[in-house]
Amino acid sequence: MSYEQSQALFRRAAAVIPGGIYGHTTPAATVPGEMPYFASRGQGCRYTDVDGRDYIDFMCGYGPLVLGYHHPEVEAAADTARARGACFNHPTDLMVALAEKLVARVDFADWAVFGKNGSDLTTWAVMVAREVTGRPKILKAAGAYHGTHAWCTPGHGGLIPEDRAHVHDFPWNDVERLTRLFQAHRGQVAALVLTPFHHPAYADSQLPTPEFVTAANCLCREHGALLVLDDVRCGFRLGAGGSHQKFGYEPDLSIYCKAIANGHPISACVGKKTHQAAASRVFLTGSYWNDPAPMAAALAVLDIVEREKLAARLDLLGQRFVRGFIALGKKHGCPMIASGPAAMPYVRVEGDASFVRTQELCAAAAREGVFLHPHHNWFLGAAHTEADIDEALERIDRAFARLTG
Amino acid sequence: MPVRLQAALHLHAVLPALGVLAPRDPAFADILAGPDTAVTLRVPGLDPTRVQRAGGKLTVNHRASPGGLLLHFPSAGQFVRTMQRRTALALPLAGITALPSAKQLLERAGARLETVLTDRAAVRRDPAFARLHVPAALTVAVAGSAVWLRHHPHGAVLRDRFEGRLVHFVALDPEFSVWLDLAPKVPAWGLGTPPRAADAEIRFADLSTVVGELLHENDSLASLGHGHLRIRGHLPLAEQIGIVMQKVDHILQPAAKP
Ligand SMILES: Cc1ncc(COP(=O)(O)O)c(C=O)c1O
Repeated sequence: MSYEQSQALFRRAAAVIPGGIYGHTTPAATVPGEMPYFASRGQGCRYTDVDGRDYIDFMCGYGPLVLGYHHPEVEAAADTARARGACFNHPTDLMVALAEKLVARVDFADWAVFGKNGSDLTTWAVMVAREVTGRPKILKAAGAYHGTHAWCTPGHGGLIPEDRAHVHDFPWNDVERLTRLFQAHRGQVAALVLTPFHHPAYADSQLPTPEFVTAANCLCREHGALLVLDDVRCGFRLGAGGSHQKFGYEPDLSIYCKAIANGHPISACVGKKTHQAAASRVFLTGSYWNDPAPMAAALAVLDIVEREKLAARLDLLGQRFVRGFIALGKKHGCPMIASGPAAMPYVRVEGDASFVRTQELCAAAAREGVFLHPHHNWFLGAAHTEADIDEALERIDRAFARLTG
Repeated sequence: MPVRLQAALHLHAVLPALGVLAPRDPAFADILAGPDTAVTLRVPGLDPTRVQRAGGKLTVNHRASPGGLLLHFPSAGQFVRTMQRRTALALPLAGITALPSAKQLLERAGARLETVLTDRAAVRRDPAFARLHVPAALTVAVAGSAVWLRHHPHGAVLRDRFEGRLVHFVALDPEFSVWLDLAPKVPAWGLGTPPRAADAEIRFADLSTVVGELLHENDSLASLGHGHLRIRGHLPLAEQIGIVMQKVDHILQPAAKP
């Protein structure tokens, strides 16, 4: 079976686009030649690639499609806003309404600002922390992804040593190393930047230990640093009020992006009154950032998240999927390891340090019409039903058979 | 740049490429035809390198064997200056008349190796020349990575991060493969089939891809999408080793011919 149209389109792409497809969707990061490269259309929890093949989707666009493609309520809200116009000379009332909604929803939030991508606001949050504290240092977990900007990109090109001169890494959950970093840079640390749980690529996810969460909270207070929670990937998937509550973090700033507008481009950062003055001194804008349609979509999504108890639903669906997956691995003599919360699990073949078996399994699953990623956590969405999960597991059963057979 | 690292790169990555190039390169016919002879290069604190011509074959190893010419450099700095000041491996052997054949061996073999490694215009223009460049340059890159990981101050961090991993580079045209093993305390490398399954296998499907990669002129992401370049297994490992190779290249060829 081939991915002829994907390949043909890629040949055109590579002639006019560096890398052909760059960034997280580059074929190089999946299983090149064995998985689709280009999408065509989607509906609910399924999408079709340019070769006309359908997939039950467990990546949800790498997170944003938390309610599935073409959610009617979200699309109606966005369409209504779009009909009024795009990118006015001014924000619309929707921006105020969205900030009010986030402030009401997130327990520690007194204000909110908006960007387009997660990176826009993780970087801005770092600047706010520096503005608040007058200090340079940023501490973050090794292997954590916070975006594409120079202080945190996982890429290697175009960097100079100065970009990272004030950024220091520690191993996730390592309280001692984190404490030592705070001590070594006493009076210099502006912020500790954390994701709610550790979800690095090419590795198992790790939940935070209670000791780590306590240490993060206490060290930030003790050293007068801001706790910046990068909730870009998890936000509103693990709880309707942000992920900090689930784990017990006490953030000063939290950034949301992927799940807030079901694929419409918008990100948000919320913070406390005490930091509002500093926040307003850190310049923030972009050509498209006032566009009302994504704000309308976000307002709709936030309603649905609460009304439909999304986090609990995703957890249940995820448990069903992960349990079924592990059982299939046992059945086929290919033990699997699952990590991370059930709503956004990462499952791989056990004892597969090179990821080769996991890559083979994901390629086989793609051939059976299930889109999984061999090196990145997956996402459940509200568009998945129990029947979709069971159908996906049947297909994965066949994928395992290909693998072992 | 720590001078010890530079010296180690010349001793343990560049010189071994002579052993790879010699049997493939017609230009070595004359050089190999000379009388049996050997030169051992010694630099304080580093394993010696012995270049030997015997029975029409050229071998390079790091064992100290008796016999032949012994070149003892007083310091790594002196050795590096010698390697850099002169073209190729023309060594300061003036006055040593007892062993002219050893001197000639190193000078001629070294000059040819340098041409094959650094004449980028010829590599791009002439496929036959490129097929010599590939095994020599891949050897220097992989052996050089082993050296960098051992001697560079940042090497230990990467060794820890990729502890126990093995990377295998496979070119299909010209047919050549070389591996790098991070399992031993001192990273090891070798030609041909690796001692165990690779954690990352990097496969170049054609000459232009491998040449493009070696000259850092290839759009790697695009090649991966096309399948001309394949990385099976641990992509970050392959990526990191690629970066180390680039660092090695910059150290060895600060002024490579464009
Ligand atoms: C945890 C986390 N932070 C930041 C980002 C960057 O967001 P964006 O890609 O929208 O710039 C991402 C994106 O995947 C993310 O997962």
